[in-house]
Amino acid sequence: MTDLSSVRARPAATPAALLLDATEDAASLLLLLAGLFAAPPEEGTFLSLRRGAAADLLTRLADGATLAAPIAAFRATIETPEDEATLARRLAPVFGLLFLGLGGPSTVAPYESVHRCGGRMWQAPTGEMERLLAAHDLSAALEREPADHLSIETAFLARLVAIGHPDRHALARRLGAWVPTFADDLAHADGTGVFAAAARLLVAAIEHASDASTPRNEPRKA
Amino acid sequence: MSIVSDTEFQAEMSRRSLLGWGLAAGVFGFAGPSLLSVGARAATPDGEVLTGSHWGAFRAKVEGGRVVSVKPWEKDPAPSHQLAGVLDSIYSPTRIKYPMVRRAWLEKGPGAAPETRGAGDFVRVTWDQAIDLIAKELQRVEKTYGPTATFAGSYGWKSPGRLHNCQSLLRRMMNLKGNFVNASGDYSTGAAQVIMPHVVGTLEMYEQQTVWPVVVAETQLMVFWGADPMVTNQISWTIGDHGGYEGMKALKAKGTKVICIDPVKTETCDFFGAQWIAPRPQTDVALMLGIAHTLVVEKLHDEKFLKDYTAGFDKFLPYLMGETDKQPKSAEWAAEICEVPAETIKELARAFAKNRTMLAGGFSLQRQHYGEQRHWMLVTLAAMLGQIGLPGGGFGFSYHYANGGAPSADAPVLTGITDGGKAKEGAAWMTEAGAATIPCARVVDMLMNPGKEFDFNGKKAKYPNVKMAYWVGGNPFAHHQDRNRQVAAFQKLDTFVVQDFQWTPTARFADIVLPATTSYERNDIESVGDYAGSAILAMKKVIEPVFESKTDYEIFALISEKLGKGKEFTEGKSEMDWIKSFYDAALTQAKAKKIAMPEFDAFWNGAGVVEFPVTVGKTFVRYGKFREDPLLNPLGTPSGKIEIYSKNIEKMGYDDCGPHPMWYEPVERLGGPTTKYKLHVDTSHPKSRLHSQLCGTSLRETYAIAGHEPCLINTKDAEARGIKDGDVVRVYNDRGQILAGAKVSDAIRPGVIRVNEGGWYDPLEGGKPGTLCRYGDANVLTVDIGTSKLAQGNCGHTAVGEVEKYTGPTVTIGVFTAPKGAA
Repeated sequence: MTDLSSVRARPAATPAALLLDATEDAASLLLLLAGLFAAPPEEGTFLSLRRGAAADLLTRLADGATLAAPIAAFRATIETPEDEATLARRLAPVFGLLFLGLGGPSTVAPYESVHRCGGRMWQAPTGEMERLLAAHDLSAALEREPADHLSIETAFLARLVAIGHPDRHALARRLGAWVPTFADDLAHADGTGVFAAAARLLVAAIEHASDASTPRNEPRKA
Repeated sequence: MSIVSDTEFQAEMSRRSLLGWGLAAGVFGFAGPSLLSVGARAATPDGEVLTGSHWGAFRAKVEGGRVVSVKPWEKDPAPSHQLAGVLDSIYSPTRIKYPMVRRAWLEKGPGAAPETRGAGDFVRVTWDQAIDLIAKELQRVEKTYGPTATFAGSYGWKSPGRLHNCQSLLRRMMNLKGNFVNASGDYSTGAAQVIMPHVVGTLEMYEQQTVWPVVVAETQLMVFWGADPMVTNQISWTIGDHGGYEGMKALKAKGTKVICIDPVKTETCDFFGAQWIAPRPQTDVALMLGIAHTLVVEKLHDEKFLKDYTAGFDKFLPYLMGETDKQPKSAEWAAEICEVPAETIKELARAFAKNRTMLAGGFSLQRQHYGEQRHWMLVTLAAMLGQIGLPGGGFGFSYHYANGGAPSADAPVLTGITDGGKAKEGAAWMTEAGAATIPCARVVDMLMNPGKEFDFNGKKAKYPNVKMAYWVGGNPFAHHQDRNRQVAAFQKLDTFVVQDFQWTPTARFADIVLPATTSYERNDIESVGDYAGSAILAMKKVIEPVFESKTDYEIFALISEKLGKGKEFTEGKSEMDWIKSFYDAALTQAKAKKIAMPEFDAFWNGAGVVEFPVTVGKTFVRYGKFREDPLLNPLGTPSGKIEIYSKNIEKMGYDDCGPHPMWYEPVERLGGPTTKYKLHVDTSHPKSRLHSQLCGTSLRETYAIAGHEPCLINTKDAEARGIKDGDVVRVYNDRGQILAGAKVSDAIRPGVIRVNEGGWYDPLEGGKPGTLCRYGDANVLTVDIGTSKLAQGNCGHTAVGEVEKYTGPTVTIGVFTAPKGAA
C-alpha cells in the first residue's frame, strides 16, 4: 500500500515526475473521496483531512482553479470546533441515514443502478461494472457491495488515472453521467453538508482527474 | 504541462509502484475498507427460476447472479400487478446490509437513551457480535426479570414458506431458551375470530366458502359488505392462486345482481357495475338491524330455519322490536344512524329475502370499535333469511381474502416447521406456547400498563412487565394503531430486536437490527392457494443472499447455538433436509389417498411444482351438511346450532359485548353524538401494496400524489375546505397528524376521507411522539383500544379527523429511495 506522505517526500525533478505528481494527486483525491463514501468516516479520517496527508493533498490541489472552490467548501464543513472523534461520532449516524438505507425517506443510495434504473440496486450498471473490472483482472472488494457502488467506481477510476490507462476517460464519463445527480440529491438530504460537499468535490475531481493524467496528445473526453 | 513521452511516463510510474492504486484507501494514514480486489469474480450461471410469493408464483430471470426480470407463472389466471414490486424489494436501497446496533445501547447498555430510538444512530457490528449481544440479553432479561419479560408474540405478514417461517422459528428458539410472552389472534380478524366460535362453533374467518362455481350457478344476489375482493384477492397468506378472479369474472358474465355496501365506491363495485350503498362508516350493525326489523315486520324471515338451526332468536327478537329498550330497530331508526334512507333499507330486506342471497362480509367490518357485533349480526341476518347451507345462499367472510371460494384441490397437507408450542385447533398462529399470552393488538397497552388487569374471552389476566421484544416478519410501526402512543410505549423497552430484510419504520426503531434474506435468497417450499391448495411449489433460491443477510433459519440456529440449544433447534437438519421432510410427509399422505406426486428429487430437480386435481371441491357448499342434518352434523357451539344468543357470552357479563348482537355507539364515528371531528378517516387496504409491503417500490409512483399517500375526498368536502385535486393536505385529529395528497372524487361518500393503511410512517423527527408524518401513515390517526372485552381486537378503522390544505413549511418526502429533491 502506498503512503502518500512518503511519495511526496521524493524530489520531482523531471517532466515525467511532475506529471506523475499531478496524476498521483488526482488519483489520490479520488481514492480519498471513494473512502469517504465507503464506510462511516472515523476519527483518523478527520485527523488526516484536517492536518495529515489528506490535508496536504487538499492544500496542493486547492492551488488549481478547478478544485479550489469545491475543496474550500468541503474543508469548511469539517473545520468545526469539535475534535475529530466528536466529528466522526456526529457524522456516523448521518452516514447510515444517507447511505445505508436506514434513513428511509432520506436515503441517497450510492449506486449507479439506483440513479439510472428506477431506484433499484443491482441493475445493468452492476453487470457492466463487473465486466469492466474483470477486463482489468479486478473485482469489487467492498464487502458484498455491487460493483457499481460509488466508492468502487471511484477507486477504479483512481487506479486507471494512476496508471494512465486509456479507459479512464470512459469511466470518468460514466461517473459523470450520474454522480452529479447523486450530489444534487445529497445537497437536499444532507443536513450536515459534509457529504454533500464531498460529493460536489467528487464531481469536480472526476473532471479534474480525466484531464490531469494525460501524458501524450491522446484524445480527451468526447 | 509539458508533453512527456510514453516511455518516460511508464518508467516513472513503474518506479513509484503505482500499479497497486485503488485497491484500498489506506494511503492517507488511516485505515479504510478494501475497495478492489485483484482477480475477476467467477461467473454465475444464467437461467430462469420458478418460485413464489404472496402475489403469486413467478419465474425470475437471472443473469450474472442478478434477477433482471420476473414474469407470472403461466398457470396464474389473474396475475397481480403488484408482482413487479418483488424486484424492487430485493434490490431496494433500504435493504439492511449488515447487523447494526443503536449506538447508545451498544455503548451504555440496555435501555440507554430510549428517546434516541428511531433517530437512526446505529453502529455496524459483526454477526458474531450481534449474535452474542442478543443471546446474552435474552439470558439477562430472563434471569433478571423472569419468564414474562421477553415478548416474542411477533406478528405480521411474514414471507411465505414452510421452513423460513420466521415467527415460528423465533418462538421455537424462545421455547428452547426458556420462556416468553406470546400473542394470540391476528390484526386481520381479531374480533370476529374470537366471537365466531361462540356463534357458529368454528373460527369461521379462514374457512372455505361456498365455492365460486356454486355461487355463479345459484346465487341471484351477491352482496359485498365492507369487502373489495377485486383489490384484496391479489394477495394470499401462502402463494397467491387468484382463483377468486375466475369466479368473479364468471359471476359478472352471468349478469348476477351485485350490491356493494361501502363508504367508498370500490374497484369491485366498478367491476360488477354494482349498486352502491354508502352508509356512514361503523354503522353497519344499525343498518343490519334495520334490515332485520323489516324482515320481521313484513314477515319475510324464515321462522322454520330459525327454529331448526339456530338458538336464541326468541331472546334477540324483543331487542330487535324494541321491547327491551323501547327502541324498535326499525328502518327509520337505522336510517338516522347510518344515513341510508329507510326505504332503501326496506328494499334491501325485500331483495335479500326474495333472492338466493350471499352476504359476503369483509374483515373491515370487525376492525372497528365493537367489531364483534358486525359479524354476529351478519350471521343473524343470514339466519333470518334462512339460506345458510343452501347452494349460493347464506354468508361468507372470505370471498375477499386469499381467494376464498376458489375450489379446493385434492391435495395433501403440507406441514412446516413448528414452534414447539401446542397449537390450538383451527389456527396455527394461536399457540399456547409462552409463559403468558396477550391478544396481539394489545401490545402497546401491555407496554404502557404492566401489571394492569385485562379481560379476554371470559378470562382475566394481567399484562406482564416486558423488558425486551423481538420482532420478525412484521412491521408493527405500520399495522398498529395510534402511532404516537406506540412510539412512547416502545421507548419503555430495555431492548428491541428487529430482524427484517429492509429498514422498515419498525427496524429504525430497534436497538439491534439483523439483516434477513428475502424469500428469493433461500430455498423453501409452499402451497399455492390458501383455500385452493392447487399445487405444492418449490420456492428455489433465485439469487445468493445480498450483502451480509442470512436466512431466518440460520439466524435463529446461530442464536440457539449460542444459547447452547443449537442441536435442539436444528435437530441436525439442514435447510434442504427440512424441506424434503415436509414434502415427504405430504407424499406419504398422497400415496395413501392415491394422489399422484413425484418423489422429492424428481420434484425439486424437475418442474419444481406438483399440481393437484379438483374434484369434489367444485361443489362445496358451506354449512351444507349442517343444513342437511343438524343432528348428525352439529356445529361446535354449546347448542350445536347457530347461536344468536350466547349463554357463554352472557356469563361473561361484559358491558361492551352482550349475549346477542346489538348496536353500540362507538367511541367516535361520523355523525356520532359526542364525536368532535366531522370526517371519518377510512383506512381500507391499498390496491398496490400488501399492507405496508411494497410501499418502498416503484409501484408507489403509480398512486402517490405529490409524493404522499393519497387522501380520497368527496368533491363537496373538498370544495368546502378549498382543497383541489393534487393539493398536499394535512389530516389530523387529537392523536396525530399526517400529510397526504388530495384526490378529489365522487367515488367516496361525503363526510368520509380515505387514506389507505400501510403507508410507511415517516416522522419529521424520528422517535418524537406527536411529530408530523410526512408521507401519510393512516395509523397515526386511528384509535388504540380493544374492540371489546371479549376479543380485544384492533380498531384500525375507527378514526375521525379533519383535513385542511397544507400551508406549512415544505417537507419534501421521497419515501425509501430518495428521489431527486428529497429532504
